[in-house]
Amino acid sequence: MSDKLLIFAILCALLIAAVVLSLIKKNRLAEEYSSSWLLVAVVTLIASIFSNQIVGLYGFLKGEAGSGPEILLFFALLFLLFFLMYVSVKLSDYKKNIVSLSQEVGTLKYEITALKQKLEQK
Amino acid sequence: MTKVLIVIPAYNEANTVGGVIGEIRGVLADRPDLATEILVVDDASTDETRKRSLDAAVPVVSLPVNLGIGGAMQTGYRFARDHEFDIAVQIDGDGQHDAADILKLIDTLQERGLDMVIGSRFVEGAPHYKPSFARKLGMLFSQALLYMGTGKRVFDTTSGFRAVNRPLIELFARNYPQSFAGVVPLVLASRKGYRFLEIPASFKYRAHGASSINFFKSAFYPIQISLAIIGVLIRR
Repeated sequence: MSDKLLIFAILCALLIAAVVLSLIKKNRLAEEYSSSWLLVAVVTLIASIFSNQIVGLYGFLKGEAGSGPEILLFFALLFLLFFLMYVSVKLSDYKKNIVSLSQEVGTLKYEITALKQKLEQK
Repeated sequence: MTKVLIVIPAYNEANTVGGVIGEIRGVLADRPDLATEILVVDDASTDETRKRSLDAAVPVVSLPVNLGIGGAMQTGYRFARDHEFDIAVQIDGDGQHDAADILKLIDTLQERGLDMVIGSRFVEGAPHYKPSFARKLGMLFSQALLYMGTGKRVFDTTSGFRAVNRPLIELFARNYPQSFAGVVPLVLASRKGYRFLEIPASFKYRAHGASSINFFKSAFYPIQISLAIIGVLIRR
């Protein structure tokens, strides 16, 4: 990897880390997601430093040497797929919670109304 | 005395829910040996379903957001569990089911010691009912999946007319499939070793509203229902 590309990759990693920290500060990103994105920043940083090994790994998988952007795209896509799966799991958990909460709210509202009616009758 | 809860899950059924409640009351009046209560689970209707149900003097649990038939029915089972009912009967709020059959469901459940009895349009003795092509295709597919997964044969896998006993009330209160609420609960019940039976029941064609089932709404239907059933089969 050229020095310019290395610097660019490090800057990208730092930018991601800065954006994540800013979102945490504004309380707009939950810890569970912010940690994933911070991990992205760290991995980008490590990947920039050990770029030769990554190029080697990609070459081993592909059977021939790949270009820089091609390698970047491959690993970025891989990460996004895993991240999307993680988000889907989280959404499914939230859906379960919403169902359970809605059922509880509906039942409690009924119980409150019934209690009020009983009190009014007394 | 056996405590029976009749659960009517309703989404925008203002035109019919009052009539359904009246019919059920008429039928249950003949059975003083049963301590029955009717509950409407209003699945966040945008019409006057809640008001019409309250006008008919029945308890109404109103869900704050639309959960679909699975979420609404589970609310009914939770209610039945918490208020210690022995039997819960599910009947649609659109007037499709003949309330007179409720007693057949309850009696069969008790006399034969079953865990669930399903009112069916497609078993011998049921009046002729012609489902839409989409429903028929969907039911054949879900029937096949149920048979492959559990070895059980149920013809009316989408029937929303069912009676269950206390053990199943407890199971469904804890765990009721939110998707494909017709066939997947059968797979779950079967996997847990509960016994069910289909008996003939009269169904009318819908007079108002639209069915919650639209098999071709999603091209993913066969994949989704297969995954829902596989999920139940492989889960501990």
